This record gives sequence, structure tokens and C-alpha cells, in this order.
Amino acid sequence: MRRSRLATGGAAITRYALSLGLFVLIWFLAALYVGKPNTLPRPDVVFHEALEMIASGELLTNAASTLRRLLAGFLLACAAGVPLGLLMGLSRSLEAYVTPLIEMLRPISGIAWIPLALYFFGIGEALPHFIIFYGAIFPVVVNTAGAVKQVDRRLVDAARTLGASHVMVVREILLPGSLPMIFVGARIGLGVGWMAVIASELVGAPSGLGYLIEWNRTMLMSSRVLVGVFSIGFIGYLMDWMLRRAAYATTPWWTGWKQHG
Amino acid sequence: MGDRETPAWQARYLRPLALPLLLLAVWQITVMAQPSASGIAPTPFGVIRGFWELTLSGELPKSLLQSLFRIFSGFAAAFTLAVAAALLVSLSRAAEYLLDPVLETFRPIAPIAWIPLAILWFGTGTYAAMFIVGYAVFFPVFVNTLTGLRGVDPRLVNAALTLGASRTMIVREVILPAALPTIVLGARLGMGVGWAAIVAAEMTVGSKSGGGASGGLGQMMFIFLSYSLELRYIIVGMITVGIVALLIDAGFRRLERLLMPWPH
Amino acid sequence: MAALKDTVQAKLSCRNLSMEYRNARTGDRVQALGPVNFDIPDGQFVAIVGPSGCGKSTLLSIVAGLTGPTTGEVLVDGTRIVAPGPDRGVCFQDYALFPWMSVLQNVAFGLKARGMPRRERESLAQDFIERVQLQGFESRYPQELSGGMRQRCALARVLANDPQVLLMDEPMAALDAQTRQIMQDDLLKIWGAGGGGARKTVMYITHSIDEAVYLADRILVMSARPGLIKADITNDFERPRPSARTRPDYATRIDHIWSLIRNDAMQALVAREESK
Repeated sequence: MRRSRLATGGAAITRYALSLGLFVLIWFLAALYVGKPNTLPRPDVVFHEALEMIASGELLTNAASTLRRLLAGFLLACAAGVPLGLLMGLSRSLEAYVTPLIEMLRPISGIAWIPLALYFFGIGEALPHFIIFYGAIFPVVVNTAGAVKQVDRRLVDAARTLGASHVMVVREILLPGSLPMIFVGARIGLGVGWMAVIASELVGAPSGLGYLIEWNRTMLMSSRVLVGVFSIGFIGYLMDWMLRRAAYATTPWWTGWKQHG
Repeated sequence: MGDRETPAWQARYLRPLALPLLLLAVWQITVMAQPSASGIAPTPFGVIRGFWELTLSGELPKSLLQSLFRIFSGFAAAFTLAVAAALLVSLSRAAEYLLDPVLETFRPIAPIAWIPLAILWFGTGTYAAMFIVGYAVFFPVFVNTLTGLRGVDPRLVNAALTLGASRTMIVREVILPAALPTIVLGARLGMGVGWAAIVAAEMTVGSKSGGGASGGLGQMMFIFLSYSLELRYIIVGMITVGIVALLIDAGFRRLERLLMPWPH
Repeated sequence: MAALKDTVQAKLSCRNLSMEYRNARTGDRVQALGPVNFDIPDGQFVAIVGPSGCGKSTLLSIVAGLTGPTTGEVLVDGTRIVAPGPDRGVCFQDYALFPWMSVLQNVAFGLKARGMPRRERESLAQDFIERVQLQGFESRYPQELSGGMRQRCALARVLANDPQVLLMDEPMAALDAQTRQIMQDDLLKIWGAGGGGARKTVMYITHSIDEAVYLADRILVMSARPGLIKADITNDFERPRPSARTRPDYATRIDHIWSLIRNDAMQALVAREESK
């Protein structure tokens, strides 16, 4: 089986243009064939709606609401999850106590909590914050604990034979060594959190991208729904990209990029 | 340094259960300590009773089966499509060139984001839910199958060629077994995402359809929030979601071991 | 409380060292090492050879202070050791260089542990980098270096700490044969140079008899598990060593040591097969 040897850069732009261009063409023809603009809108209509929604500020305002919630929930999850994960990675007994609880709660996806959370928090900011926190904290904790454990123990040995104190070992060896995988956990958590915020907005929120697409659906404005959907994808991708760049910048020495994307 | 081993009983019973049991106890006591809330607030025992009641009334099994039917049929369709697409992309340069950018554009869009559109297209019934599941399952399966196919060590293929194997034999005896672990991994991940997606879809659909006939666990949980408030039934639903997720995952891991008895 | 001193105290002393493992599942006790007794005088280069699984790496780990022995003690200059420390520098088999630190930071690490201010330690580290001929690569990451260069970086890191004893755990095992030969000569040169003082005391673990005879003043031959010292061979060929390679008694010595190990080595091979 051949490997992909297609170049990046200018050739990539051509490729994307060709491929997506073909896709849009097929979409256009399909839309004409189906003939129901409320079901399958034409690509040019969607494009115009997009411009209008950006110009009116509608898209950006709602995106900002969603992002604010995401950030709040995600930062909370990291603030709680990273220290907990670090402690679990350092202490085998703590890990033995906490992991079963994690394994029991994790299968219950954050989304399954929405009805219960709706009852307790009502429609407001607390609901998405909680769902995001819940969804993001598991990958963060688990990956952080794993990050500490995967630091090569020989490096700790080497540091000790060079005279490092315990504090120095944690500061100079364990923390830098875990950082790349902590970033991986953060990226996964961010992805889960992004899904969680959209889901909670779909069900009960007065603003945000999830609300936007749901409201437009009730108005049967499927072209605007599509604009919202593509925005969700785009912003999600953008955030992951930014976190990846932050990881590259902070841990340029890591060799695991290929494996963990 | 020596061996500081924990006694076996401690490792097997105390540690795994200590924290969960503690939390359950705290939960029970907190609710009992507030007489005003005891009418509404669920307790651990209330939840256990809830399981019993819902099973007897048939509501839980019915919803559960609905959800399971959707996820497995959605999975079957999406899995076939994804594997076919991956095979196509790995075999045909043109397919890879054209298909990959489109898929990469859609991959970041979470399945949940498609729910409103799915409702617009398919109404609030089973097909909307199955579409979401299919979408959710497609990408992990596609990506992993492609990785699996591409990741087959060319030296193995070369070795087979020098031993006189035909093209079909190579695909059947070398490439597929070599790619299988990654493909099954993709299936397992896909099912995990699919299950979460279907609960979300049913919940959203359920909240819009006014308690309609769409059914499923997600909708069941929503009905017990919006129509007849029964918090403990909601929790029963949540726990069921969790247990099914675990069982699906365990089932796929078992399948992995069955299909691939060699150490890998 | 003064320890009992000989007229010339050994630099490194291993007294009655043994290591016993208990299989957690079956409860069986396995004697992996010992009892082992030997002294190494100051400045001596001792190689330890033996079949796979004879416990030589365990021995080094005990002397380094990374593992606690079941019985016995290790003395450095008459003082008992209980933990790892800069007095016993270790060169690990896979170098154990810190991937997030540059070559310079790696070499300066021990000095940092000692609290030396940055300018001073970087300057000192630079000296050692030059000594191992890695100048120009100070700001590179270890991943960017070749095997031989990583080895030299690891050596510089350990030497910068001025240890009393140098412990080396098969440091050349990961190198190809040609690089290995070059590195052996480099090692002897750096060791022989002494750096303003006398030569360092070295304990060098290897499974290559050729390497042991080439490098060392003295060779301890270990038996298969439980690892005991089977033979203590004085290896006083003249230095520099390359000229010794062509001497017939050089080959004889290698042969002799191999005859001591061969049966154990074959047994170890079979044992590994059976335990699979």
C-alpha cells in the first residue's frame, strides 16, 4: 500500500481547491435536483448567508458566547485536572484510589448529565460550564497521570546520580518530561469540551453557536444552519491548531509528534 | 528500596471501592439531612428502586433496545462505508487526492453539530439518530482503517512476494491481518463516539418532539425531566448509558482478542 | 568513629553484596547476585564481564545506590553509601540524557544540583564539552546527535561532576562496531588524561570480552545466576593499548576468559528460551 507522498504548500492549496471545488459542484447540482431550499440549500446561498451573518455580527457574537463558556469550563478542568493528574502520577496509592472512580464515571458521557444538570442549574451559564468541566476533566486527568508515569525512570536515576534533590527531580525531570503528554490530554479535553458546549447549547441556552443552529432550524433556515455547522467545525479546528502550536513552541524537543498528531 | 507491596485484599477490594462508596454515603446522607428535598432528590437507594421499577414497567428495556438498535445499524452502515472509502483511498491515487481534503474538512465538525440539520432532513425519528451515529462512527473507522492499511510493513509484503504469494493471497494473508488491529481499534473508538452521539441526538430530538415516538435512552431521560419529573429515573438512564458504554468497549476488546490471537 | 583502615584504603569496596528477589506471584526466592566481595584501589580501571543475566547490571545499580542490596554494603573511601550521589557518577547504557535540555544544560546539570550559579557552571560545562570534543554542539538537543556524540555528552556530564568513582553500564553497547572502536580510544584518552589530577577509578560493565581486555587494568569474571565472581584477572598489558592488540598473549587472554564464560552463556541462552 502506497504512502501519501503529496507535497505541502502550493500544491496543497491546488489540491484543496480542486477537491473542494468538485465537492461544491456536486453539492450545487444536488441542491438544484432536490429543489427544496429548506432541506438542501445551494452553496452560493450558504455563502451569502455566511457573509451576512458575519457582517451583522450575529455569527461572531454567538461564537464569542460559546467560546467564553468553553474557556471557563476548560480552564477550570485544567486547573483541577492537571494537579490531580500530577499527584496521581507521582503517588501510586492515590492513583489506585481515584482511578476506579474515574473508570466508573467516565463512560457516562458529559452529555448524559445534561438532563440532571438542567434540573439543578437551570438554563444559564452554569450548565454549560459544568458539562464542559465534566467532559474535559477526564482526558486531562488521565493523560496527565499517564504523562508523569511515562517519563523514563532512567532519567530520574541519572538525575539522582548527579546529585539532584527530590525537589529538583520533580522540577527538572518529571515536569518537563510530562509536559508534551499533558498538552495531548489538554487537546483531547478541549475537543470534548467543544462538543459538550455545543450539545448543552442545543438543549438549553439562550445564546451561542449551538443555540444559533437550533434556532435557525426551527425557522427552517437550513442555509444559516449550515453556516453555523461549518463555523463550529472551523473554530474547533482552529483551537486545536492553536493548542498544537503552543505545544510545539513549549516543547520543541519532543519526538512524539507523529504518533499523537 | 525493598518491596513495599500492598496486601492483596487491600489492592483488590479496599482501594477500588473506597472512594466510590464514600461518595455514595455522602450523597445518601446529604439528601437525608435535608427533609425539604427528600421528595424530589434521589438517593442511591432510590436509584436502585428506580432501576427495578423501570425494568418492570418495560420502559427501560424498550428505550435501551431502541438505542441499541440504532447504534448497531448505524455502525454497520458507517463501518462498511468507511472501510470501503479507506480501501479506495489507499488503492487509488486519484481518490486519495480528491477525497482526503473533503473528509478532512468535515472531520472537525462534531456529530452533534449535525443534529438540527438531521432533524430538518429526517424529522424527529429513528433516521435522524442513525444518521448522527453513522457520521460519528465513520471518521474514526476511516482514519484508523487507512492508517492500518498504510502502516503495513512493506517488508512483510516483500517477504510474501519472494515466497511466491499471489496478489489475492497477499491481501488476505498479509495486509488484512496486519491492518486488522488498527481497524478494530477504529471500530471500537467509533462505537464509543457513536454511543455518546446517539444519546445526545436522542436527547435533543426528544426535547423537540414533544415526547413523540422516537424513543431511546436519551429521550427517556429527557421525558423524566420535562414531562414527569423523576430525577431518579434520569439517573437510572445515566447509569445505563455508562454501563452500555463499558460493555460495548469491553465487547470490542474481546472481539479484538478473538480476531487476533497472536500477541500484538 | 573511624573505620578500620588498611595502610592503603581501597577507593571502592564491596562487602558481602547479594541481591535476592521474591517472585510476588509464586513467592519463590531467586538469588540474582552474590555474595560478592572485592576492592578497587584508587585509579584502577576494572571491567566486569559475564553472561547475560548474571547480575552485573544489578551490581552496578547497587554500587550506584539506585538499588538496595539484600545483604552487604558498599564503601567509598571507607564510608558506607546508601543513596545515589555525585561521588559515584554513572554512564548509562542508553545515555539517559535529558531530552528537553541542550547538551550544555545536560552537562551542567550536576553543577546546577550543587547550586553553582549559571555563568560559572556553564563555563565549566563548556570546558568538559571541549574535553570530549563536542564543541559546537552545545545548544543542540541530544536527539539531534549521533550515538557516539551522545555517549560523549553523557561522559562529559558525569565527569563535570568530578566523581570519586566512574560507573559505566555497557556504555558502548548501542554503538556500531566502528564507532565503538573510536569511542574506546577516546575514553582511554580522556580517562588517561586525568584532568589535572590522577586517573579516575572506573567500574566498567560489559559483555564484550574484547572490550574488557582492551580497556581495563583488571577484569572480574562473573558466573551465571546467582552472579558470583569466578575469576579476578590482572590485565596489565602496556598502555597505550592499540599496540597490545597484536600480541599473541592478548588473544590468549580473551580466549581464556571466554572459556570461563562460555558454558554459562550457553546456559543463559537456553534458560531464556525455556522461560518464554
